[in-house]
This record gives sequence, C-alpha cells and structure tokens, in this order.
Amino acid sequence: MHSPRNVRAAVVSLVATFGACALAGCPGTDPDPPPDECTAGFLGDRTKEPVIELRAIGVDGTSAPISDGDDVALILPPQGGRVSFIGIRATNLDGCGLQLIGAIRDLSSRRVMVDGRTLNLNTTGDGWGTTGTATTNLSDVASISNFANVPVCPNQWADTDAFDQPFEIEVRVTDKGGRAATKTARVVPRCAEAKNRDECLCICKRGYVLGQTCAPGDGGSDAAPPDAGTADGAPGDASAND
Amino acid sequence: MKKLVVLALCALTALPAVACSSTTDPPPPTTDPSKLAPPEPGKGFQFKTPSFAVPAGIEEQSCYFFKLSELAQAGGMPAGEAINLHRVQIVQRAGSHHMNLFRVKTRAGLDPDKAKVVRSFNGEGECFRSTNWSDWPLIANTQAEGLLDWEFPEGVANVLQQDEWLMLQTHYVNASTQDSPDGYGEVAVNFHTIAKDAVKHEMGTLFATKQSIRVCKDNPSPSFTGTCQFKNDKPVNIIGANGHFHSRGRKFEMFKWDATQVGAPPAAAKFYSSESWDDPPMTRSPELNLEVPANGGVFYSCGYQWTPPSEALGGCERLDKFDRDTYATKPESLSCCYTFGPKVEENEHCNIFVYYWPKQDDINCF
Repeated sequence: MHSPRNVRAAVVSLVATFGACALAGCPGTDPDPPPDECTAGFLGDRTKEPVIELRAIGVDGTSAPISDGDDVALILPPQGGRVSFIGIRATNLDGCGLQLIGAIRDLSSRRVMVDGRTLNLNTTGDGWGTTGTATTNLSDVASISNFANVPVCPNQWADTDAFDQPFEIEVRVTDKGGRAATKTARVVPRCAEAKNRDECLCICKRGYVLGQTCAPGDGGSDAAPPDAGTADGAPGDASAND
Repeated sequence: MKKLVVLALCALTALPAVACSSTTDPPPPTTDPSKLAPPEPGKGFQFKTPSFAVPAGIEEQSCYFFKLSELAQAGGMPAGEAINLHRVQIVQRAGSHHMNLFRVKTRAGLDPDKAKVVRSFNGEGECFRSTNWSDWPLIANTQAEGLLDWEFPEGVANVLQQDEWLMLQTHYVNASTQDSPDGYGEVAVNFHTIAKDAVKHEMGTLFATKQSIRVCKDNPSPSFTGTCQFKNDKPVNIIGANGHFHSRGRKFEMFKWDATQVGAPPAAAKFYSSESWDDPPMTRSPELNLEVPANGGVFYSCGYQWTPPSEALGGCERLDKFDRDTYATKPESLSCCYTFGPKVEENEHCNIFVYYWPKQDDINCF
C-alpha cells in the first residue's frame, strides 16, 4: 500500500542519507524508544523463584483467586464471543513488561485456546503485584486488557459444551529478565451473565457452527445461572474493525 | 514500488549492495480497476465499486452488497447452481488500506435488503462497526494496491450458493500515515469458477481478530498472541495467509500449531512473517502449501512499538479522548494508548486471514 508519493519521499530520503549510512551505518527503522513509564519495578526477592496465584474476574467485575473446583465466568467482552478474564497475583519478578499467557484446556482432547499479552502489574505494597485491580469495570477495556482474555466461545474447538463441564486453566508468565512461572487449576466455566445467557449457551455449545441462528433455549439447558456474580456487565458496542 | 526505489538508487548513487539490471521486465499487471477484463462468459463474473473521491483528511470504509444470483446471471452462468470460486482477481486503485469480501450471515446494522451501499467516514457509521459482520465468513482479502491474482490449487474451490449475498468492504485512507495519491478509490473483483465435477476439495477460511489490544506509553513494546483451531479430524492444508496491523506494528508472525501447546511453537513452524505494516505480504499457493496436523490450528503474534502521536492530529489528548469515549477507560488508566479501532492514524489492529482446504466450518476467532 505504498503510494507513489510515499515512494518518492522514500527515494529522496534514502539518497540523502546514503552518504551518512556508508560512513556510520544505517539507522534502524525506529528512533530511540521512549522511556519506560512503568513504575512497578521488581517485586519481591530476586534470590527466590517467582510465585504466582491465579485470579479471574466475575460478572460483578470482582477479581478473585481461583483454585481447583472453582467456577469461572464466561463473559461477553467488547470483541464478541465469550471469554474468561484470567490474571495473576505474583511476586519475585519484574512487574513491568510482563508476558502473560492464559489458556483453557479441554480435558478430553487436551486442546487449548490461548491469549497472550504484555502488561504491567499493579503493586500492592507488600512485595506482590496483581493484574488489574480488585474491582474491574467490565466495559472498561483498559481494565480487562490487564487480564488474559481467554477465548472460550464460539465453541468451535472443544469436544464438550464449553460450560458446566470441567476444564483446566493454565497461566504462564515470563518477565523481561526471563524469570518464568506456570500454574494450572481445574475449573468449571459458567454462562453467568443473566442477560446474555441464552446466547452464551448457544455459542458455547459443542458443535456450534459460525453463523448459526441462536434462539432462546438453543443452549439446551434451562438451569438457573450459577453463582458467579450478579452484575450483568454487558459491554458497549465493540467499536470498529477495518 | 520497491523496484522504483531500487531503480532510483541505481541512477543516483553507486550503492554497491543494490544490483542494477538493465533487463526488460514483462509489462506490469493491470493496476487500474476500470481496465480489469471480466472472465469469459459462463466461466465467472465481475463486480466492482464505483470510483469515489477520497479527499485529504478522509478515511472512508464502505460496504457494497452483491447478490450472487444476479452476478451469476450477468456472467452468463446457469441459474441456481453453486459458484465454485477457483481464481480471484482483485484490483484496487492506490491508497487502499484494505478490502475484504465476506458472505453475509446474521444481519444487524448492515442489511442488504435495506441498503446495498453503506458508506462510512472517519470511524463513524455501520460499515466501521465490526459487530455487524462478526459471523460473516471471509471469502477473500487484500491489503495491496494494484492486482491480486490468485488461482487456488487444482481442484480447490470456495463453494458459494446463488441465494447468498456478498459484502465487499473497502477502506481508503488519505491522511498522514497513508495517502490516496489519485484522490480516488475504486475496487474491481473477478470471480473465476470451475465446474462442479472439477471440485475435489472445498476451501475454507479462518479469520481471527484480537481486539483487546493496547499500545501505551507506559507499556511501550507489547506483544499479543492468539490462537485459532481448524477442528478438523484430518490434516488441513494452509494455502494463503496475511496479517493486518497499523503503523505501530513491528512484527507479525503466524505458526503452524498442534492446538495443545500453550506457548509459542518453534521457529521452524513459522509460515508467515511481516515487518511491513503498510505493505504486508500475502503468502499464498503455490509457494505456501502447508499441512497442519489433524485438530491443529494457527498460533499468531503481533508485536508493537509505541510512538508519540502526531501533535498536529491532537497528540495524546486525542488518543486519550478516544480511549475514554469508546472504551470507558478511567482517567487513571489513560496512557496515550493506541487501542483497537478503525482509524489508521490513532487505532491499532491484530487480524489474521487464513485460507485452507479441506473446509471444515468457517472459523472466526475473537
């Protein structure tokens, strides 16, 4: 998508810098990167191995620890589908520019769906840091971007319904210095948003086909929403793609 | 265009690393949509947008709808029979940011029965709203100006039905990070078909978009990774791929993936790489013919570098306003972030387009 105007400018620029390049080496494509404004710094003890605890956001926006046997909420994010927002509490690692990968694993097929992102931890003043804060506004993309947006639905991947069945959550973190930690937990995803429950049950059902019409009750379950929070949390419009 | 740069350097400098040839190249392919010759009658059809002005400072993304039965009839094809798309030609006038072709499914803010053309400008309007086509399978896409001419492998066809609608979405930019040198946009498309008995494998498409991305001053070098599975109990063959991000994008990669690994696959599994946001490669057959194991998929990664926004365009204040207005971001979370959105100048993307056979289902991953 170079236009002739851009190309002419590139030619002039290349020719103008040729002499200098020949003598001093050509510059890279980026100027010096701007200073890092992250303030988290190193958390905890550099002599110890990193420690992480798993957390997830409920439909009321509360970030809570998760462990084996817990429910995790399937939430309609701005991007559509259903995700589980998975984060961590961590120590003994660099809280700036941390690489977080969150995954959900189908225990039958062992297949996973993955979301990874670079983020900064929020310090809690006790040598630990967390992804996001204690309470997350689910329509605030800045807040939910601090968690792995683990994609669960549309369910075009699992051998079972992606709700009310046990799955495994796996989280891997690596800091800029290469310190790494992994943690897993067996959880049960739940279509926990009352307002969007029918659509959730439909698109998270085993064998969902893209474009399939979702009518009320298509999920095949009439069980009451499980206790995974109370707020509706429906996000605004997904803005735009191009 | 890169050739023009090389020739200019050859003429103006003695750059030793650039090979300067005097050989005569074949005539360039058609780059003018109005000059694209249609397929032979009975073997395909052509459809196009009108030529439209793209004034300076404008981003236009517009959606044009076409009924396949009408296109087939105009192309002299039998009524009611499937369209077995085997070769696609797309010609765009310079300045295009992208064009995508979708099959219309669930209708929300876009409905061809209500409007066959929906023009949207500067990030506003239904043709900028991705929820309107979130379950519409991809048919073809290109991000390059000029001609895309792609014939699928022998016996491979994207099978479409005549009662379907197509949506041609075109995005032109005439701003600072990209321009439209002609001041006009225009797209023409040829569908070349093969007979039903020549179809051995149906082609499918995979589209994935990562919308929860943020490239911020306080987290200036982020990367985002995602996955998408074919969910096919037999191996599939990837025959086309391209990635899409904006000017903060530095590295786009796609890997063959067994769908059980959580981390990035090994380098040997990489089948697509782009470090050119405004001229991304479209890797395709015959060069790309990659077998992915049964139940496998694609692992992809988008890497970015935050750069200060243009003060002339409003600087950080403008980015923060978009972030606040669009995503309800709280004041304490504002950090001069480029977020997901339609405008090249102030938003970012991380999208993959993958073409494969045999088709399982159409696949969209969010």
